[in-house]
Amino acid sequence: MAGNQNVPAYAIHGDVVVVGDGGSEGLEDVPQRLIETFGADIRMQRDHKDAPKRERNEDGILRLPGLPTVSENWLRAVNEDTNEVRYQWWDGKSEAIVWKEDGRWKMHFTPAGAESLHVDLGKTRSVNKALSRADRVIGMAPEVTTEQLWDYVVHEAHLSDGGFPSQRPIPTAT
Amino acid sequence: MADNKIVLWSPDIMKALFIPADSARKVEVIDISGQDDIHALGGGISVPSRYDSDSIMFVIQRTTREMNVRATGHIEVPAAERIWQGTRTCPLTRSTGTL
Repeated sequence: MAGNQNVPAYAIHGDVVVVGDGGSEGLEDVPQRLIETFGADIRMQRDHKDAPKRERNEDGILRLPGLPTVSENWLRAVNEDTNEVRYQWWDGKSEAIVWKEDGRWKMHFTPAGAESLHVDLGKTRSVNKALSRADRVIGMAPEVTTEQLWDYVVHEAHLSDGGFPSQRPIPTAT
Repeated sequence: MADNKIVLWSPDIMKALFIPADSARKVEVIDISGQDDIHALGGGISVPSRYDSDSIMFVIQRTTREMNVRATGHIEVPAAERIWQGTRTCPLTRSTGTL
């Protein structure tokens, strides 16, 4: 007897989580085409709970978004001569430069109104993966203070695990 | 202006796509730090399957075995297209590389 044509011969039952396959480097970000295919909403997973909403603080600084993705106000360009990726806020007051050095991705982030940061983005062969890490750090309103930035990096960008130093960085005089 | 020196020994935080079996719930992009997070989402059991060349689909097994229509539809269409095109290979769409 012929089966029902509307019932697939093979089906997936249950919730599904899709991640990207980075080959020998393990799991990586899910391909963007799949996000677009499914028209996904975006939220932050933090200890299996939604990240807390952060509103404008007493200093009038813009709230740090729950999702640290780079907004359209960030311009991103690749300098093919130097192999650097430059981020610049639309008004030019904040900028970041990402580059690869000795196999590790580095970033120099200069937010408006805050101290510059040198960030080690880790070791990966994937440009997209490195930029994804950079996006998480700078994907915030540019008008942040160093205190907020540090708090953001530790608590919001989910970089506090895996041996992240617990103490604040010590500013070095220039 | 002072210059802070920060070294981030960051774990691999990555974006993942969460596709609920319940079609009334929206598909979401979530951040996970690894496969353990996926297991935790599923209550301890998640089964990896591969339907694309550049992604892995973890099916979370629970007591309720509701069919995931969206995920099923996704794996059916590419398979049908590959048969139609007479090939068993998956197109590579990643734009990764090294500088």
